[in-house]
Amino acid sequence: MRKVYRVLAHAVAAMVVIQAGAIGYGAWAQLNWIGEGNTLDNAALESGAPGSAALIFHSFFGGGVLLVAIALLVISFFSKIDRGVRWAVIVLVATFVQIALGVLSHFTAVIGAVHGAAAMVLFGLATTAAMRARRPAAREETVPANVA
Amino acid sequence: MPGPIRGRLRLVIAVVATLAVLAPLAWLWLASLVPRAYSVTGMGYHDYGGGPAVDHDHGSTTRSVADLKVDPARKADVVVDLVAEQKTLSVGGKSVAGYTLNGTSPGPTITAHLGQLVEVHLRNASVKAGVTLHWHGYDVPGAMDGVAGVTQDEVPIGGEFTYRFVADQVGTYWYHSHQVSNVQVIGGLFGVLLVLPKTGVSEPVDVTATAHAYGGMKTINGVAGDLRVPAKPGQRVRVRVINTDNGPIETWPGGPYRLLAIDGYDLNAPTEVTDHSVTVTAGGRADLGITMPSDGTAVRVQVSKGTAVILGTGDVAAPRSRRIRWIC
Repeated sequence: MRKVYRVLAHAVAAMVVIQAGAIGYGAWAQLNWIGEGNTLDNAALESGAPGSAALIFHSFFGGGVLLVAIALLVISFFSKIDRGVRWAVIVLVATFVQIALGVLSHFTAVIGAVHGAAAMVLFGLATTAAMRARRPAAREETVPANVA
Repeated sequence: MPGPIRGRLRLVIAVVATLAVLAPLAWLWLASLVPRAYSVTGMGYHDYGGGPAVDHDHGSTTRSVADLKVDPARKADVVVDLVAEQKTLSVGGKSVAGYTLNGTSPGPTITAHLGQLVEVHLRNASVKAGVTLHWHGYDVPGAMDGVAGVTQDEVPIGGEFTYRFVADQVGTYWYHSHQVSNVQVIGGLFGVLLVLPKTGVSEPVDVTATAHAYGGMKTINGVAGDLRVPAKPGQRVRVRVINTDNGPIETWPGGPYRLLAIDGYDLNAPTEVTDHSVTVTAGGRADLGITMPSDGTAVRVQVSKGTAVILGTGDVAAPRSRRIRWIC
């Protein structure tokens, strides 16, 4: 269980990295497309201009991160990790906030700046949860006092 | 609390917490599923428009959609044969996976005059997912609407379907596949449907500018770059802008113009417009009326920022645009 918890927590961090890569590719694909003299408008985006697929992937993959964070929470219930549930909740809430920021960015691009920065925070929280799970659980037995 | 009981209690709490998290998610997922097939007629409710409820359900009042058609005995005035193929298109030097009708994308323009009976024979040569033809915005009998799964089955490879409808609306329209249309229409399985008044249009120069982006590459009538149309000084020109893409585009001429028709409907006594663009929505059409300048200069009609129709000879700079702001 402890190992599954750590794998899931690291997976959240890895998926955040993939999300960043997808946006990086999408932004440059679009910039290069325009740089070559092409036009990017609503119609072009809908017809498969370069970068569109990466942006769509970014939307769906974000939902995937949420699923992994939920799985992390469920696993944390069954793992005897010190403060494991707490950190799983922290990661899940951070994931939820990050997705909400992404949706709200459609209204104001400034929120997109927060979304970008918050990705780093989420990466840090998920990695911290994984690292904290390394320490073995405190043993509950008490050692007998008399050793003859 | 003794060890084993404490451990058992912890497990129970863990299971309950898991159910509390997963059960609502499972319920939401189940509630989002749709049945494999459902009848259009089974949805909604009967609306009698405020009058007395008349019982339409029982008795012999059901009709098959296939019966909603033009009198088969009537002879067609305009007969068109279309063969649909799935192939790689070459657009602006790039290869794009697409579809053709009679070898081209866009397919052939179907032109009819008001009141004529149009008959289109569609054959599917190689489109794997099947194909239909839908007459966008045009009132046709139910069986001729071309909506796969609703008014007909899709035409499989080797299959045929004949569409017959009376052209009783004048205007700029287009036709496109309505089977896996999110792929096939973007891939180029469409064409123009022009219905002219009985005596034709009054403009001596009638241009069709079909805007379509293949893999993001913008084209007019299937060709990347600008479309040149000869026009003499003082001549009146009608430019029919058709947006076959999935998102809106702007169109604006470099000079005064009139919006003659929108989405196939004529405007009543349109007045001159300057310095504003027309938003042509996805699937929409805008007929622009332009009078060529008497000094012989060319007129540039932008169809989105990427392409333009250039009327007349000579070069002309792209005109600036300002969008019409609709105040709702």
